[in-house]
Amino acid sequence: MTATAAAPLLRSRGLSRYFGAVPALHGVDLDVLPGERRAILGPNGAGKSTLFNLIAGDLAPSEGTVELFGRDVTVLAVRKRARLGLGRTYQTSRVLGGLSVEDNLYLAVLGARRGHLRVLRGGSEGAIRGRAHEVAEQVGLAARRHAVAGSLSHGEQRQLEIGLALAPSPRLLMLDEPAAGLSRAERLGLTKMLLELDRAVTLIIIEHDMDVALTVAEYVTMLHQGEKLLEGAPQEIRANKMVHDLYLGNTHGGE
Amino acid sequence: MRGGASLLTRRGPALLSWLLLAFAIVWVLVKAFDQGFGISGNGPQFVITALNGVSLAALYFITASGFTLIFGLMRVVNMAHGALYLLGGYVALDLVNHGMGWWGAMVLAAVITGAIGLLVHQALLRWNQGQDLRQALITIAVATILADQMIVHFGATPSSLTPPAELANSIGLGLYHLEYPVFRLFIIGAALAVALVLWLVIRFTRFGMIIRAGVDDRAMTSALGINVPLVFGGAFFIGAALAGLGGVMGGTILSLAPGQDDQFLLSSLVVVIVGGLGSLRGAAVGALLLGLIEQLSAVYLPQQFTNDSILLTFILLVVVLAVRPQGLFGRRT
Amino acid sequence: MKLTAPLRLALAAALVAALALVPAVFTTYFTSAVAVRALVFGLAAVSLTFLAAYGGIVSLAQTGLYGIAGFLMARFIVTNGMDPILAAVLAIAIAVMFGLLFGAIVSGSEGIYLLMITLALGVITYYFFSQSGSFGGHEGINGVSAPGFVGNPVTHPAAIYELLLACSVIAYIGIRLLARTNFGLALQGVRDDPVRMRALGFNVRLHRTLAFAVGALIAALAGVLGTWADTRISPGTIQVSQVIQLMTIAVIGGLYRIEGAWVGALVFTLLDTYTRGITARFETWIGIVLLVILILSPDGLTGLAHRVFTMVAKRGAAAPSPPPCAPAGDAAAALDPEQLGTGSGQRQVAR
Repeated sequence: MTATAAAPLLRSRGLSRYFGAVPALHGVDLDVLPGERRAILGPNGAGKSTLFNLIAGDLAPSEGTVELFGRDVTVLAVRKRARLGLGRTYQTSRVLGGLSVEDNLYLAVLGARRGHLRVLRGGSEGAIRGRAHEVAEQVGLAARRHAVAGSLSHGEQRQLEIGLALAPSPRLLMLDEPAAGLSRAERLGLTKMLLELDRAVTLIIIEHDMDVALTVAEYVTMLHQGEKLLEGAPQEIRANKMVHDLYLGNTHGGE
Repeated sequence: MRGGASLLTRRGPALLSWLLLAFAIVWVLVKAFDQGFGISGNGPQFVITALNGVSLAALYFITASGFTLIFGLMRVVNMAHGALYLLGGYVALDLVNHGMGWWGAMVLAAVITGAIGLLVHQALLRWNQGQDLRQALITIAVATILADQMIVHFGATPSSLTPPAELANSIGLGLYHLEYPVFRLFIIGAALAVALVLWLVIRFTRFGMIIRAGVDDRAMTSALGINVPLVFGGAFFIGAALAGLGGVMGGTILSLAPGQDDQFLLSSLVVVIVGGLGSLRGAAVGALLLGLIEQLSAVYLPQQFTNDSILLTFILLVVVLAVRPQGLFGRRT
Repeated sequence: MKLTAPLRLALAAALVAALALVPAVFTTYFTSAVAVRALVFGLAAVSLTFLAAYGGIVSLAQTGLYGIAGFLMARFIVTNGMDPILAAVLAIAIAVMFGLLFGAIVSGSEGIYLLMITLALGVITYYFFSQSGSFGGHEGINGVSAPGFVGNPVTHPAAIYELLLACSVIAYIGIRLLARTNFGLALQGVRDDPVRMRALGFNVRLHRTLAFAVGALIAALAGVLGTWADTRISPGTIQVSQVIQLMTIAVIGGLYRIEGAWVGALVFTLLDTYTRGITARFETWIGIVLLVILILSPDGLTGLAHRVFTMVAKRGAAAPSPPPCAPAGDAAAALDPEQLGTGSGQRQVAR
């Protein structure tokens, strides 16, 4: 791995979540080091989104702990985790439909800073707008800066979605199926962007699209029926028989 | 919302509200029995007041059960519910004035009110299913029109229904030599009957199963190909009929006048907010809380606050919303 | 004709100037019965529209806040002999406190649930004032004097009218400016997708609570000015039918455009004043009007106007950009009554 040998940026121990009697996730231990590019793979229903939501704070665990940036965040509110440096995207784009692309990115930058309630203009507004422009460029939406987010195409919304997560310069970026519904060209653009991502940002992605995931990732965690199946470098995963069976042969996993 | 800071912020509000409840109960009991348990003390007044509270709760439950059914299943905040309540009472009064007996008038008024509710649903709500706010506003318009038309047809002077002969007297309670109106006891019985029937229907019939599924997940229910509009229409009929039934009962122990519709809309709102959307159990508990609070506060609040008893309803709302925003038995959406 | 910013500003200024001339042009009756009342209703309605358009919160508690300010000020003036302006400021301040309280209560709820709770709050406030002895009970409080420069609002409504007009303009400008601040933008974000805003680090409940306080400020201002204009306030001013009436005004004008509040207020007041002679069943008719609007054009008259305007403009040059508070930008989305129907605060982003 090319990540620095430091303390884990994200650590979970025995993380479990039950919905009634259904174990959506059970006993998952995860260690992600700073600067890493991690992919979380698995068939539908394997527990990938549940894991994401537990880490991000949208769900509370039934058992287990989550540590982010060295702190126990198991019961910490979503917005506080965001302010610690966690950025995430959602499987279906959650953009702020009534505002322009630029305003969307402005709020994304503002979210990590102070001054949410300010009613006077000026101050750091210029710097925030500048950063918003930067991110718009980075995700390829510079030309659509003034378009209302609700009027963007699906692909453009996915770009904005990633932009929102990137804008506050997060330490940990979690992408939930970023390639879903993208055209071939868009997927290539996404892969390129992720490969060029600064090492200061640690990346975890959930993906169905094996190509994108295994190109970008340096280490893969494979989930199956709510448990960790195996972990390893992309080549190992590609070569693994169990993985083949699950994804290609006898894909009864999860559903 | 997940994740809170310390134990205090998470458990605090719940603890506080239990304390508040305990304090209120102790306060009432002390005032009721500080002169002893004998007949010369305040015991008799307590018994009567408590019974008034329970019978009022029964009336609230009958009305609110219809409201929560409609709200829970269709997410329609039926702002016309209070108007339907009053309409039921007025229709029964009209029927009685034309020679029908109380019992017959009660049944027919409930059915007619149900039919009017069904009509409103089919004409105005069926085609915009899912647009919650729009539907609520439409029912507001209907409520306005209904309320005004009722003034035209039934006048603005308060009137009331006379209970049927069998239920018109008072009966001895066997306690403190007290007598209590049979009709009020009948309402309590009627509420229990309504609760039982609704429970049986919801638990053991196909219709009820669909309602439960619909409360949990409307989109899925309709995706399963169930004739949702039919079920919804039926549920709206029942909900409106219950409002009308409440109106007949309320018209007999209270009165029928413009303004009663607002009062029973508010009580239905409070009962459902407190009890939780779509929950019958919640409606029962909410109705009990509201009815008892209203009656007990009229008697047991310190003198200078008697006119401000509405504030206790407010406090009830605030406390419940602070502790369980989805209502006591509601489910998080 | 392209509506550039300077041209729009000039038109707006001309409109305000024209409105300021109303007392000079129309009869005293018209000024007090229609113009003043329309402005009071408009200001009260904009407290509702502001919350709906920028916060995604449809609140039926605004009349309650109007009443809290109006009753408190009336009591301060009549019972405590306080100076009218001081009484007004104090009453508004207290009403804003209540706005914060109400906001805190409802900030965790959304959509239809929030509508119910705010209705309960509004009605409870009405019952409180009608039952409480300290506020005149059913009669309310009479003989509320306005500040000196207003004079007698009944015989000489011009002064209160101009005061109301000035306050309305300030409220409008204030809302527009607020919308572009950090707070205002964040509030709109909360309106569009509270889940996303939380994930970005925003405190959604706090924003909603503070927005509610802003709404309370506007409603309280309306309450104070309205009580001066009427020289009295009674529980009847804020009873359930009035709660509904305010909502009706907002819906007629258009819930999602600030201007809608005043459009709705004017239409309503004209109907109210001039149909009373024709029918005693005004309530029935207004209910029917509301029903028709909800069926045909749920985003009200301003929504209808916007759609017509965009269609016309599309024939000419490029379509003008929609007002910042329109839920989903383009005309196609505005045509979709779904926007009025989404129960949660979320807008229907293309999914």
